[in-house]
Amino acid sequence: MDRDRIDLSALDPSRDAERWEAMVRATAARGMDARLPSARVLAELVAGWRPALALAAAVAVLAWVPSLLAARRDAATAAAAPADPVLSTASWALRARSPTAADLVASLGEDHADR
Amino acid sequence: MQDRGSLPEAGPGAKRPAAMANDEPEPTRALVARVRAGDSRAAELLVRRHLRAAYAVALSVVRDVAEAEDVAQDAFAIALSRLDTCRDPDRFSGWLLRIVRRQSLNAAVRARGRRATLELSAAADVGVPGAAERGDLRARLLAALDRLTPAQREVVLLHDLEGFTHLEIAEALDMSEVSSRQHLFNARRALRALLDGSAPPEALHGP
Repeated sequence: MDRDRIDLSALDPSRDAERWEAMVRATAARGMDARLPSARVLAELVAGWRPALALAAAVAVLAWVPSLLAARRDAATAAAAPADPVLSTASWALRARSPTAADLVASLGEDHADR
Repeated sequence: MQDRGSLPEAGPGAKRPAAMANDEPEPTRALVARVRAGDSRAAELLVRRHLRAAYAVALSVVRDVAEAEDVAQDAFAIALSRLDTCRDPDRFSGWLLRIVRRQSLNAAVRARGRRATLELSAAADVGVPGAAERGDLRARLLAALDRLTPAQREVVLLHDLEGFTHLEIAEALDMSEVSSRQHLFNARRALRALLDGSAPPEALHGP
């Protein structure tokens, strides 16, 4: 204990313990309230992460469907298309075989079959 | 700076409120980390541990008990809201007291404007005895503190009211321990003389 100490207890706000405690709580609450906005933004970002990801996935699927359908349509068209007459003729020549009537129809295309 | 969280609660400056008894030795660094994580209970502990020091510094500047309480609370709330900018939580006390001092100086400037207005209107009240003459101890102390230099006020309030050591004062107020001891010596001598009513005004500020 310092004997030279000046007694300043008359200026001590914590002499009134109840009032001091209220002051402590109010100050802490104010400080934490002021901290909340940044913490809340962070929490909202974290909470919104999954829905945002799900939404992005749904948008990606929706954007992909038309191109998927277009690709399938192109594939079907390509399958129905007549074979290239040049390639067919070259193939017959290489294999040294005569084309059948069906080969000729397929090579020329169905449009020519009626003619 | 030694963490005030690990200091024994001793001396008049250590006449802590009863609730302080539960606030044992969790280091300030740990409390700061908990507050940063959003722990309101830790904020309360931190405030309970350091609000008196904040008040002491505020009082040394604004020299008005109610104003000092307000400033200390405002400054502490600001400190908590900006806690993420406290780079060294072990030096939380010094960081906080710098904020308190800044807030106090701003408040003092505002108060000076108000006081000037009041003094003009009270100029005719010469016969009314001042607070010091009324014998009110608090007013006498404040009047005596008013005669000290700002550094003397800060040191004597932190040491004799809050119970800071010279090492803590030195680190919190950016001065040497020797300066802190010297300011305390001069402040006490001047305060005693003023409170005894035997103060030669020219001797108040010491060598």
